[in-house]
Amino acid sequence: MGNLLLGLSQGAAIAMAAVGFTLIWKVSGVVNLSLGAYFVGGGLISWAFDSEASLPLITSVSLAVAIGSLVAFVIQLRVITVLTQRPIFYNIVLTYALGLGMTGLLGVLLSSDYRSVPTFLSTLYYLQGSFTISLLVPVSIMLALVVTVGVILVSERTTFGLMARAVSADKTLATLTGVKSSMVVAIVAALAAGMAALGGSVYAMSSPLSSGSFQQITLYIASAAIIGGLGSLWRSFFVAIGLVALGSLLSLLAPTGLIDIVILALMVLVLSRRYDIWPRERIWRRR
Amino acid sequence: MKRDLWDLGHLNRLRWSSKLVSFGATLFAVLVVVVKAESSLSELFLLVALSQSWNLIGGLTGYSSLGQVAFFGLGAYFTGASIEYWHLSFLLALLGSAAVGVVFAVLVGVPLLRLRGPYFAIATLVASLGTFEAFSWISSILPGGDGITITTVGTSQIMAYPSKGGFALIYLALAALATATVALVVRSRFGGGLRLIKENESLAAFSGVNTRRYKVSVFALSAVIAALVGGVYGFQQVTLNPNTLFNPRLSIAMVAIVLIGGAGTVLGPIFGALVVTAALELVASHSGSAQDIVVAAITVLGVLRQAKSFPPPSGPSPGVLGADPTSDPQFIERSSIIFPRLLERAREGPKGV
Repeated sequence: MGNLLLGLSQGAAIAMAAVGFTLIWKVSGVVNLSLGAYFVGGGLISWAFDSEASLPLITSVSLAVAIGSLVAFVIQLRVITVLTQRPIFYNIVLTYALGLGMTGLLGVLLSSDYRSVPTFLSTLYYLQGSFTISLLVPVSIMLALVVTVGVILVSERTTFGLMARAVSADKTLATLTGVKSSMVVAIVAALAAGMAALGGSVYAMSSPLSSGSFQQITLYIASAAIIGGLGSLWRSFFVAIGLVALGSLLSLLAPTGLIDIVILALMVLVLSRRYDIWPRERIWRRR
Repeated sequence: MKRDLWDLGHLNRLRWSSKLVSFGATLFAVLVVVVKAESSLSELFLLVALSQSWNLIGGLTGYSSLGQVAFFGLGAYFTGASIEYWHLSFLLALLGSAAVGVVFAVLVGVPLLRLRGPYFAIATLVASLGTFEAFSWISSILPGGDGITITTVGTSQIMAYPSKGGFALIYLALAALATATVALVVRSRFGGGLRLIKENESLAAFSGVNTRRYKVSVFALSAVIAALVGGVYGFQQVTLNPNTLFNPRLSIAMVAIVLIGGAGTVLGPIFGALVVTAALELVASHSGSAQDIVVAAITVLGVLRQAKSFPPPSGPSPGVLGADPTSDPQFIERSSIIFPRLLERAREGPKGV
């Protein structure tokens, strides 16, 4: 039960980044594999401000979110935007390399060891016998819910949301009607990075993070978004929580490698059913 | 055909100023590698061989695998286990690791090569992570709990342990083998089919290329090279550590090298490897994080430079998803030299479907 609750809490943290991943994909068509680095960065920067600079927790987390958003905004506007209309291959390699570089930088500047953010929220309370729960579980799930609902409200009820939807539908047409598409995409990237950094800060309150966690976290974020259908914010949210909670439960029974293989199998299964990925000649033969 | 061999892709299309910068960077890289020859030559040849392995699947076929390091690690572990537990000679262990690489590539490639674009890249990333986690677990349950350590001294050693120069020569042989393999593939009908798949997979299938067989075959071929290099590296390292053998930096370095040198070209990865080796040598005394930053910076520069040398298309073209495969006469004419049925099929149009 303890593992399931820990998985739910970590899943909620990863869900925030997965929703951000889906948001960028929906608006700009960018597969941003660097979100894992913003997630790890969020955790490590929160730790640095909280434990090293002795700032209050809320201030530390807010600064981590602000730094993540600012970096993502600049990178989107100056670097990723260059790849507009280029093959998606460049986009994947670039964002993955950016993620690797940013986590490397975090390792050099802050710490390459595992770090966690100490908080009263992770204090365990005994409910019945040996069954324990921390406040972090409901808080992280509520926070993830509020953030996701907030993003959906912004996209559906505000002028900025309308502009983002216009860019998502047809970037050229949106630009012709006066929407600054690059700026809209950069703001969405900043929003997604902020969500990932917030997720990372919450995650680091329950489990330690290091710059080496980048790959594993990226795997969970991308898998949740892809299995969730790459386009539905709510599905990404629920799949992320479900995947991480399932992984946490399975870790009691099987090695982590097996969990990754299960995720891979799930992803291939979902993609094979949802998208046109089967070779054409096979379809023709059937006909 | 001779032109293919010397084609450096985007480098040939650069302006004079850019060519001068490229020449300067290469010269600087050569100087750094020569000055630090003892330590960097092995690394240079290792990176050439590995990047040629990625060049086959990513550069020639256009399938950007981010998990090539899985074959490298697998080769290292199989070689280590063969020497330490089954007392095979180094050469037999290497051949075994190549065979294991093929089997693993087919097992992974058959389902994953159905995926395209970002899905394939992410799936290969997941596959390599899964392999890393699996080997971390295996290492923890082996006697001693710290993985495999190959015996290289004492009476129980299987064979003499080569010197640094010896390993450099083995890596040189592998780099030459990998480069020759790419050259042969580029010049063959098989390579033509792969380039057709890269340009437009639907059109490739349309013109009679068995796309699945081609893709799985080239994936297996690239796995053989990576597993062989991994086997030698594992033997050189003596103690096999999953964190070193499945390091994502290696995967992204392969991509960076090919992008800098020229994707799908024969000699490009050699130039790219020179630059990356020199840059890594400059920060060799620093932590792994510093090396991550260097590799990432080179990759970002490589991607931006290559993307800039190919301006975005003004309209649909064969390479852009959703384009009409029969709309580019030049592309069809070029490809029909290799696949004569292509021209005929293109003229028939959708009626042939």
